[in-house]
Amino acid sequence: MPSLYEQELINRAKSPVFFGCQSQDDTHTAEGKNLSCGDEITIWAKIGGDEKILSLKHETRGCAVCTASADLLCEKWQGKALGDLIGGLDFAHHIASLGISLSPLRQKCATLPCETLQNLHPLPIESK
Amino acid sequence: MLRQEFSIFREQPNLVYLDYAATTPLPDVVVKAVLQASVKRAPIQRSLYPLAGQATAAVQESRTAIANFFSAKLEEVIFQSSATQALHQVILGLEAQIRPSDLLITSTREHHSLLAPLLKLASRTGAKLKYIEIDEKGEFEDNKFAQAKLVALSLTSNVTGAQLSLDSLSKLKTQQGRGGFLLLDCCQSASHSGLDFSSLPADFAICAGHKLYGPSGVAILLGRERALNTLDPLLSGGGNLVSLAHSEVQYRPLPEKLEAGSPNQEAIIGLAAALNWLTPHLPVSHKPLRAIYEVLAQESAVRIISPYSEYSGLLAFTVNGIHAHDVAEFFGEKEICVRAGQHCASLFHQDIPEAATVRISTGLGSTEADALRISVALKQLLETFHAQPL
Repeated sequence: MPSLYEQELINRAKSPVFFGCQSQDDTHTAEGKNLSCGDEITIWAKIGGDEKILSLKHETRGCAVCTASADLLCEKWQGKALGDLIGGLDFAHHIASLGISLSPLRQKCATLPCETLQNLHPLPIESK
Repeated sequence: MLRQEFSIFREQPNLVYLDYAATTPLPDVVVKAVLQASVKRAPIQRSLYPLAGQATAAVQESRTAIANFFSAKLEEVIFQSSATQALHQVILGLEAQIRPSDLLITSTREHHSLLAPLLKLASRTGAKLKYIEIDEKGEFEDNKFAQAKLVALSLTSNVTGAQLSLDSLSKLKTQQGRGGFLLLDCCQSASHSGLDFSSLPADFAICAGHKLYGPSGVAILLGRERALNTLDPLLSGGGNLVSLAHSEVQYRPLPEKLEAGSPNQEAIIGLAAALNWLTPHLPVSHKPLRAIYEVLAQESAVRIISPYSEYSGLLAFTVNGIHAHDVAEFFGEKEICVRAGQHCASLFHQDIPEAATVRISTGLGSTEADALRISVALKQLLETFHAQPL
């Protein structure tokens, strides 16, 4: 059985391209947590006036699968329309795009970023 | 060798199973007992024909065997479907006894199945819930136990393996007296050293059948008769009533009072077979765990959360820079079965830097050779993830 831990996954998890914290330009955020393992993720987004996702960043404290999934998700959705997130985020397709075989329990690690991203909401004004 | 008494280890000889704290593999003799009970099953205490009489007798004999294992009286042994149900029966079964002025005591190292009903009880009754500190050796200070209507603790932590001091528990119970109840979750205790309920300083003790080399679907709630009789049954109707009129019900005496519903006869009979099989192997050797502990202790990237305990057969650790899930998944690819996550003890994990831990728990199919497999897998893990020392 091939290992889950090919170098590509490990590199993406150890050096995520879209890792970052809140900046002044960010307009939206969302948080997610997996109670069974403690994986936590916060997503920061800058949404343009035309409802386009101008930038996405994530701060993930979790396993390699969760972190890599979050990073690939941000890569995929940056530049897309915010409205497409509702009903357009196909969890099964995202898992398949990771190119790894995941057990049902481990799929929750991969989909936590998806659930979080779907819950993007505007930042409170005082927090900007 | 004991491993040969388990089909799973004969079918998968390279399997290193280190998740006994979650559930134990079934010895062949237990599988056989369950199968026989399934073939001969019939209504228990409900029908008059011989087959039903034989099935009822088999369950009664199993209760006797289980009571003997725990050094308990027959009426002190209550069958429940799970330890979670048993915990709910005790905690929520006391609701009518609890006043807003009452004090409930627990700790942050407890399993969710103990904390969740306790939180519900506190919310419903207005009673105050207090969390006490328990150190890594299982010691705790005097915490107004005399005023506590209910103290609910796990005898052995399912994360660290630290066991509560029996001396401290005795003092606690002496202070509490008959004015309150002490509930001990013993799910991680009995499979390593047995459990003598007759001398345990507690009103209630709970064990899960599937953690005692028995089948799923049965747990044992042990209780002093006086304490059990204060509990309101959470379930009513199927077998625990002596009468039902238009405006009232009357319950049968213990143990049936708290055993509504058709009993899981296959699981009960299987559990009796499991305890019969387990008894000559107690206490379980912790040499396999000790050997694993020494392997982990030598690795600078590993932090062992728990102190090594002779009595519990489990320990928790983390690896610097590698999430517990990744450690467990990587080990799983090497046919080494460990548990990772928060182990249904999220409050405990809020008190430590790591969000998740890896848990290793040994049992009767474990050998000292498991440590070598851990050692090899750990080295491969660290190379793959380029882990750094702490």
